[in-house]
Amino acid sequence: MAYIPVNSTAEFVRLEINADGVDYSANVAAAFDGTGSANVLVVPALQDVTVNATPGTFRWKQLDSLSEKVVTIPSTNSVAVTMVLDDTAFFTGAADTPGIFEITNSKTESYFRLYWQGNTTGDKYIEGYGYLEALAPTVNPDAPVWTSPLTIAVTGDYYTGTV
Amino acid sequence: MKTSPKHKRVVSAQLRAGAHTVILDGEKWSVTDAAQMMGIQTPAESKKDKYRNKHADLEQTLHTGHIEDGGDGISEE
Repeated sequence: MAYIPVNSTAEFVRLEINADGVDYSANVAAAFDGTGSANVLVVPALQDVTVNATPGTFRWKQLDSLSEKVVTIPSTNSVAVTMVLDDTAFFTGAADTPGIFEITNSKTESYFRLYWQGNTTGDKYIEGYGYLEALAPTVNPDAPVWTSPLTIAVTGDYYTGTV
Repeated sequence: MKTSPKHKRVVSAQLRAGAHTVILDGEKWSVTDAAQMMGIQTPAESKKDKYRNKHADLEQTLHTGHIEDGGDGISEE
């Protein structure tokens, strides 16, 4: 058994987005390791990350059973983060990937890869594609740095991999 | 190159596995280059050292007729 700590520089959580407009379809890895790698935007300054992978269920009761029956229905997958806004990541982007605000604004299909504990050989990641949503930048006098939640609404399955 | 205990652990493991490349913080490195920069002994260096030690032992034997304790793999017989 081994825990997954993220408390040293080589183990930081890392979220990459590619929204270069290319349809990589299910070949998500090509958006990060192959031809699309030049357009990868690393989302900096994450404050928290939540990976939601929830298989849906349909439950029913019947008169000849003392307990509920369950079947699965399609999963609802999403990745939710909170980040400190970075000028480049938020407005400029990387190569053909626009900034996060523009990706959200134009509803561009985005490919993402989330490294759980750094991106060194042997490290695990999940990847997939979907749309950026739930952007809600906020600032106030007592917290005078812009921060915002961001959710990636995942289309289809997560794919897992190892660096 | 930033080195951390994790990086050293990974490079050592890749060395043992005989891999040629290793990815450290997203950058691809030659395993031997990475090992040298981190001061990790590669198997080739280890063999060289063994050879040097044996060679030194043999020279010592020629000069003194015996070898000191700690000779690597060479017995006094």
